[in-house]
Formats: sequence, structure tokens, C-alpha cells
Amino acid sequence: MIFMSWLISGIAAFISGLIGSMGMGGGGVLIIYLTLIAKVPQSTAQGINLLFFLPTAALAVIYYTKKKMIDWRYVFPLSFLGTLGTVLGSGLCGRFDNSGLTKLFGIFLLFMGVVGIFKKENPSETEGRQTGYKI
Amino acid sequence: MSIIKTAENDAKKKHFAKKFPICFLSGIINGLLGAGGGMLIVPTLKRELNARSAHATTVAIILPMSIASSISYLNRGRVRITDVMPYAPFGVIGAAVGAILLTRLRSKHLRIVFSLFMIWAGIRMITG
Repeated sequence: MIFMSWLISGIAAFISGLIGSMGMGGGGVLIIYLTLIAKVPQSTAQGINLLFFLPTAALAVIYYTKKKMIDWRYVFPLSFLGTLGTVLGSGLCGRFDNSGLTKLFGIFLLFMGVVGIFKKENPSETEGRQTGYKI
Repeated sequence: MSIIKTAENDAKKKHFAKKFPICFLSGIINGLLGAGGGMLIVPTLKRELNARSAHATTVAIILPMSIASSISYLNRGRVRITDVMPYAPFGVIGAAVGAILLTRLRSKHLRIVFSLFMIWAGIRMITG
């Protein structure tokens, strides 16, 4: 029984790392597992997911840098703005209790799931076209 | 000629500026919901980069955001470093496999499966 729960949490973590490193918002998988199956409080599940993402993302960034797949012109300004957003976001997080946060997260998942299903296929997805522009 | 170039540069700058609110919003989601918000950034980057670079660049954008959110969550006592220990090793292995797959595979089928999974989980969370 202990082995089974260890195995399931390992699989959930593996899939999260896999999808997360592909930039597809794999964070959802781990939070879903933690809240719906492991019954961890939502705010803790979110914190675990954030910490969990750091080594996996760092690994992915090192790999992508070696493969020259990262366009750094975008990274610096956009991550700076995003980081400012996180300050507001984590402040807002404190205003919700765990059940409110779970519902909010559910709405977010539903929205992203529907968008993902109905999204049009980008032709460049198959061709690997590089069209970056100079700023 | 120079007028055309200036107009082109203006258009590019405007296009670049359009990403600012999306990145700020994904930062808010990162802090509020503890998830990357990567699915918001990827589509906007895909307009100028190929799919693989857009995904890879998104991970690099989200990493500093997640560091900032993690610090905030740790400081507020919502999570401890030890809470993540059981999951981290498997995640790192998954990330390694994902990074290799991303350089080889199309992600369309994965996206559809993942989207259906999110819809199912979303409904369970809202109704649960």
C-alpha cells in the first residue's frame, strides 16, 4: 500500500516534470494529484509545485541553452514583468482560503483545457521555422 | 526606404509590447495559483518563434517568476522545502525526458490529452 502511493506520487511527479519542461504548464498535473488524490491543502500543493518546478526548469533551461533553443531577447524583459506580477499574485493568494483557491484553480484549469482543445494548429509547429526578429 | 524600415520597427515594437500584459498576467497566476502560466506565454511567442523555441523560451521566462513565487510561499509558511523532497527526483527525470522529446516530437497529441485531463480535473475541483 505504501509502495503503491509512493509509485503513484512518483508517476505524477514524472509526468509533471515531463510536461513542465515542454513549457505546457505541467504544473497542473502535480497540483491536481496533490489536491484531488493526496488531499494536500491547496496552498501547500501550489507551494510544492512551485518548488518542484525550480530544479526541473533549471535542468530544462541548461539543456535548451546548449541546443540554442532559447531566444534570450524575450527572456529578460518578459520574465522581469512576470516577476512583478508574481508579487501581486502571491499577495492575492493570501486573501483566499484553501477551498476558494481550489475552485479558482479549477476554473483556471477548465479555461486552459478548453482553450487547448480548440486551439488552431500552427503550421510552424511541424516545420520548425525560425522567424525571430531583431528588437 | 528608411520610412518603410521605421514603420516596420514601430510595428515590431508594438508587437513586442503586446506581450507585456500577458506576461504580467501569467506572473499573477504564477503567484496566485502556483502554476507556471506557461500556456499563456507560449501562444504569444509562437507568433515570432518556431514552436520548439517558443516552448523553450517560455520555460526560461517562467523560471525567475517561479523563484520569486517560491520565496514568497516559503516566507509565508505555506510550504516547507522538505514537502517537495518526495517528488523532486522524479520530476527531474521527467524534465530530462521531456527536454529530449521536445527536440524530436510534435506536441499536438500531448496537448489534446493534457487539455482533456485539465477539463476533467477543473470540473472536479469546481464541483468538489
